[in-house]
Amino acid sequence: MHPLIFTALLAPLAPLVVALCHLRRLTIGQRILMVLSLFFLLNQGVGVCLTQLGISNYPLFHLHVIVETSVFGFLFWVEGVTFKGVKLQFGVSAVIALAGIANACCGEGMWNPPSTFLAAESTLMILVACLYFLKTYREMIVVRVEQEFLFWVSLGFLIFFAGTLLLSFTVDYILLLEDQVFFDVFLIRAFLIILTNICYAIGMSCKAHPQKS
Amino acid sequence: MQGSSAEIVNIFLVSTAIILLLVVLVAFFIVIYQRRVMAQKVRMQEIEADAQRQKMAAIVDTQESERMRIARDLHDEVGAMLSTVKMSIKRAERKLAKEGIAHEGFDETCGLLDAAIGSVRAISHDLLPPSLETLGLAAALTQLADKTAQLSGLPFQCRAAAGLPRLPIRTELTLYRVVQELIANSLKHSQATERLLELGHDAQGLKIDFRDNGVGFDLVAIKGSSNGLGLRGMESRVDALGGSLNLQSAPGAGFAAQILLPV
Repeated sequence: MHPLIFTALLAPLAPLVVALCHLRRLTIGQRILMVLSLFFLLNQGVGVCLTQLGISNYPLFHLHVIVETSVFGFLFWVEGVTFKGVKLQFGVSAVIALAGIANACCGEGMWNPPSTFLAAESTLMILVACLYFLKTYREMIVVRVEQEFLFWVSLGFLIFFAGTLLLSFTVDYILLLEDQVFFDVFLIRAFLIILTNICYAIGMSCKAHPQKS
Repeated sequence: MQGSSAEIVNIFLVSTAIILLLVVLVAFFIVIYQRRVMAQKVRMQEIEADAQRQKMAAIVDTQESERMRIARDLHDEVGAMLSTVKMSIKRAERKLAKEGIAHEGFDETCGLLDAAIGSVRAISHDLLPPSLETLGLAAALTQLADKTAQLSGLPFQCRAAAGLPRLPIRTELTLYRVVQELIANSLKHSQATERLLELGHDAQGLKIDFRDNGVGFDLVAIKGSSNGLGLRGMESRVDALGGSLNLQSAPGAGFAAQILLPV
């Protein structure tokens, strides 16, 4: 296995370990991310095992995307990110999660890659991250933003989902090309996963403090 | 085919790099923006605090000027006038006595005038202790401690270091008033049996320490309540001079106050 892919597989360990080190003072949002990191780690691990056994791991990919979308939406809702007083992203991500389940069952099918759904997820997550940055920019929050948990989560979102947006929209096409192309593109994705998890790990080390506007 | 595959990977690489760069730029911009907002807020708070301090200083200054004026007017004019009236009455009494005319009630009037002169003097001295102007803060506070010990019948030690620098009269007057209020509070609430006042100076500036062995109180609770108005007022007055007032107390642990004034 390529070292970069191996590191990417183990990358969710970083936020998980940092979270365990600061377990007592974690906010609800940080606890959610900790559980989510554990899920990513297990999901990816099982996915690798299935591939080694020659079984398709696309159902796990569907599960990954559905859980990721809904739980991250919930996390932003819990952390109180609203737009004009409305906690929109929770409702939207709940709808998208349901759409993901429908897509896996009777849309693209769970034995095919969730390409359309992946593109939708990436777009939504980029919007959620932008929403946070917009909120931070517009509101006069008197805290050091780089010491905020959500800042690092949003940065991780932007790095990963914006970085893989092109891949998300072209995954069907990439799969038709040579294996080497898919592998090379997947290496870029692996690098982004590592960066994202570093951001999550930094976010996990942030202390909770009230936001003063 | 090999070339187009490499091109596709390159497109992915370049687009990812561009997106990453944009993301980093956005994050960097947000961080810088936040820092500026914070710096601006801190600056605004400093300006507000400074304006508040200047306002407080102006109020205290006006109050003290008015008190000084009233003290001088009472002493120099009302006091002098009452003394003149007393002398006139004495003169009239002597004249009436010489002419053999009855003059009952003159002694009583003179007694009342003496009491009035004494009251005027006491009020005038309370408003502006004469020793403060002539001898300075240390002497005035020593006198105040002696007077308090005499009135309360309880020990009150006052220790003043030699060579204390003289300060502008209004500064000394404000410090005198703050200590006066500390002593008044102690007499009123503390049930203390001993009090101590120390005046000293070092590289940091003038230092005034007041302590009693009274019942103490919950400082945080008192400061948060309407009863803490006096304490906050004292802090504001010292703050307006550019100094600081540090208070320490706890139930059963007495009370301590330290005034630090950079000179």
